[in-house]
Amino acid sequence: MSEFWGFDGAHLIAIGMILILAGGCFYMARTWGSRL
Amino acid sequence: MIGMDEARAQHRVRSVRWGYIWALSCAVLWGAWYLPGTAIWSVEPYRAMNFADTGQFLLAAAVITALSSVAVLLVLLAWLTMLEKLGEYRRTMRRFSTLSKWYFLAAIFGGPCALFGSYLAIGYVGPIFAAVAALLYPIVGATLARLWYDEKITKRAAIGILVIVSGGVAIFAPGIFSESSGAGDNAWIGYAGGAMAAFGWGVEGAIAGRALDVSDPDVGITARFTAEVIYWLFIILPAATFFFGMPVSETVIATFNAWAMVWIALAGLSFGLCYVAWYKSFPLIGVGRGQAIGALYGVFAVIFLAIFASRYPDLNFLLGLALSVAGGFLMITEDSQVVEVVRDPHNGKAKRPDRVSQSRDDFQKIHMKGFVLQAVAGSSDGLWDHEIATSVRREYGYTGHYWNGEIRATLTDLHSGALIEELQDDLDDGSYFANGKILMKFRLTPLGARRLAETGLA
Repeated sequence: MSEFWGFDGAHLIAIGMILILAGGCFYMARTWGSRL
Repeated sequence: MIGMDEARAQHRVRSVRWGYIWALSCAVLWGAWYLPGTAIWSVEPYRAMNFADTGQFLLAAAVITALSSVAVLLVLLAWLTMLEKLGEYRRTMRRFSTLSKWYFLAAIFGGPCALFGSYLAIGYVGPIFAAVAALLYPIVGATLARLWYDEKITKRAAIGILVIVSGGVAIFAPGIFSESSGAGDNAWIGYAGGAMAAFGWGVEGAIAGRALDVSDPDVGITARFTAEVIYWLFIILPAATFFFGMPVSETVIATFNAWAMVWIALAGLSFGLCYVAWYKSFPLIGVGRGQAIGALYGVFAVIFLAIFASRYPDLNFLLGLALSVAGGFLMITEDSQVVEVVRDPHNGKAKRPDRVSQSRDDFQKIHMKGFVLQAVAGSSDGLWDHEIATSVRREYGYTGHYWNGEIRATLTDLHSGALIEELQDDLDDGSYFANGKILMKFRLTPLGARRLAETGLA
């Protein structure tokens, strides 16, 4: 991978992290109204 | 069974807490955006570009911003599909002259000004500088929200904003110095980009606040990115090609390689959802507070850049981190009674509308928030939230717990924004929403009547 990343596999972990954050955001959007 | 006072207090705390949860989610996603937003510069075709050539660099930044905005729009359209709000998007976009035009205006400041400026700052100076420069945006947003909407900024909130901003400066000042020393003769373009980001995002939030009063946040942000994509694809990039002879199509085609597409897509995902969270927080806690908590993105950007890219800030990071967290804490711990309604509900001169549109076919239906406001306006002695929910479900054919929650969220949003006010409350015994929830009876405020008139709904 490019010289930007700090260690081997960092880009894959970053991809996974953003996907997990997006999933969490979607879960909140589907449920927050009923938890108000 | 909880008592009325306890249920009331819990409801108040919950609605304010959700405002802060959304603002904090925005900060985390925004911080994460700096990873794909910087990684894109290190892959083909951008890695091999000669950045001493200003024209080539500006072209690269424009193409990256344009493709990112297309990615954001695709993410948001998928988001609306999953949230069953595509119909609401259609109904909102149709009301251009009174409603969606505000999102088109906000997009000018958020896109070609702020996002483009941020990419310029990343490319010419560095990601840490880009992050700190934009940290000043809450000052612009809070000032405009105070001037345009009479949003209440308490002394505590103002101190919180200042502490967060000073924390941001403490975090990044040495980073700016070390990055700028290697930035070369064209560094001023990066600095101008940083200023564009702070100004653009501040103004965007304040303009979008007007349309958010009367439309759904998920839909609003999609409308705003629809506008940005139109600006880039049909105005700015064609102008760069035809008037300045820039090789736009060659650069776009070269960007269609696997890793560039991955980073563009992830930038779209993180940025799109960060915006969703940002817009959702505004009605609940106000533009000033939403932007200030969102500004904690600087902390997350530093953490993510350190972990994933081994770019470490100096020791002053700890001081900056402490200041930013303390500023956020100052605002979050503000009495929820102060935050619950973020504006003056009596700030309006328009007379109360005296009739409500009756049943319409699907093409004539207006967006849901407009429908709710009209329904409340049409009732002389107020409407209970469960009565409003029944009308909304009947009008749009919505069913299930999810839509009950969405309607409650919409009413909380309108109440926090001071467009409707509470006349009476009661405790739900489980007949309407859920056992122990607060039921509220609402009526339109003068501010709500003014917004109805301004958006052609009165």
